[in-house]
Amino acid sequence: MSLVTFIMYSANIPPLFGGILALIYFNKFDPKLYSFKLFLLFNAAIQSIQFVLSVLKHHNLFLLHIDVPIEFMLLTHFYYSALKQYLDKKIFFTLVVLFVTFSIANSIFIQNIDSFNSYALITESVIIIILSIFTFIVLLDPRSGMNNTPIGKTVRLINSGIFVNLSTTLLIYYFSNFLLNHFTKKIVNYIWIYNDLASVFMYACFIIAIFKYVKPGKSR
Amino acid sequence: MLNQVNLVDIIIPFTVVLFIIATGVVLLHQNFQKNLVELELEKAELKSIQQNELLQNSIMVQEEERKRIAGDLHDEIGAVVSIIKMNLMLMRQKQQGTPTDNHDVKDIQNLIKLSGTAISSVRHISHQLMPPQLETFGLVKTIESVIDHVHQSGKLRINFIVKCEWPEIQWPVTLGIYRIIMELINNTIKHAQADNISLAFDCLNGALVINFEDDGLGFPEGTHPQSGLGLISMEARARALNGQFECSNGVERGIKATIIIPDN
Repeated sequence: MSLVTFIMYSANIPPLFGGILALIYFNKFDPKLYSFKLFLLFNAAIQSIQFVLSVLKHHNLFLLHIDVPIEFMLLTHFYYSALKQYLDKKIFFTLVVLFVTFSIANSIFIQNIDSFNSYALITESVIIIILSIFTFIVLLDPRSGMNNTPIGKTVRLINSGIFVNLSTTLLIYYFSNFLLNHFTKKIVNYIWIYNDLASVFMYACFIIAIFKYVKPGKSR
Repeated sequence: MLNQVNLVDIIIPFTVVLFIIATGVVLLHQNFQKNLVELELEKAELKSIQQNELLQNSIMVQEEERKRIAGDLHDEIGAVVSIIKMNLMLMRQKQQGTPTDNHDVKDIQNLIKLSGTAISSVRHISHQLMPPQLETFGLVKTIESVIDHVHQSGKLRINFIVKCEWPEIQWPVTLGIYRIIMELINNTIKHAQADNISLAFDCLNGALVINFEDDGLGFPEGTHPQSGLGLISMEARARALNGQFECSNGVERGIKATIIIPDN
């Protein structure tokens, strides 16, 4: 097995591990992290199905068309729970309605279910990155008082992981068509490894957040 | 390979994406600032309510203590001194039938006089602490009684008018208004060198309005009218009743004070 293949397969472990931890410490999560733990469980399920299908050499791109809108709803709800004191509720509601509508329309009319839904992924990344950067601003602002609270520290770790992963995702998905058309498969594989490493980083942040704050009950 | 690629086709849309992200963050930040201001206002309001409640509780505790001390003074010390006076009078009666030294008679007479003074003092202090007629007869009658005492002392004239049908008000409000008026009258007697006071009770737009004016010296020039401890405490009492207290120099002379207490 080449290094590239090893990294690609082992990149499936962190999401599964995250899902298992979410299940074990299900009741220890702060209510504000409810959608985050659902996100972990959902991602673990999708990752498992995607892995099984890829091992069986079946087409699995349709999973992204299911994953993206649900992941977006869960992440937006996570940010809503963390930031509802500081932002109007209707912003989150509008974002979810618009994005889910766009994602479904994209899957039906623009990029069909068997193709890579780069438009929806890019849009999701852009919106979540905006929320992520804004969350950093709120955490840094002393008037919010969030940084000194256990939940603030948990959110900071989770947010860091999401920001790094989605920034990388945005870059890769934005240039995906260009990469596929202009570079060799080997180069493209290295770029996807980079994407996997970003995902591993994100889950590392999540797992540290769970062990540091959720498991000992410090996130409340 | 890259030379063949039109980089502008990639860079410009990517710049647009970055611009969208930056704009999104700025817009969210503006919303954040607006909500933060609202949050801070809410916190300030809550703090003000808590401080008000603390003030109200503190005044209530103080008044309860005054009532207790007034009651104990009157019922215990007043009673004991009365018994002492009665016993002394009995002793004097017994002495009247027997040959006694003049000194002894005078001493007993002095002691009777002193005990009478003590009883009056105890009664006066007890009434100052908590006027018994306030609870029984209400604010207007109590103020009229106070005015009669002031008139008897000849210190000044108080012109008291009640311009409306004075409603039944709750005990803490009655007591609070009484304390403020007494403080104003005492200040005028002690410091103002005034000859006349005008005191008016009125009811306007669901609020009790008390106007107080005297023709004394007024506040010295250059001093803030509500900087003295007594005036600060009056303001605090009015605030504890969810009311307002304003005090300033009168148009021509003296001081003018207005107390507004909501009827509910």
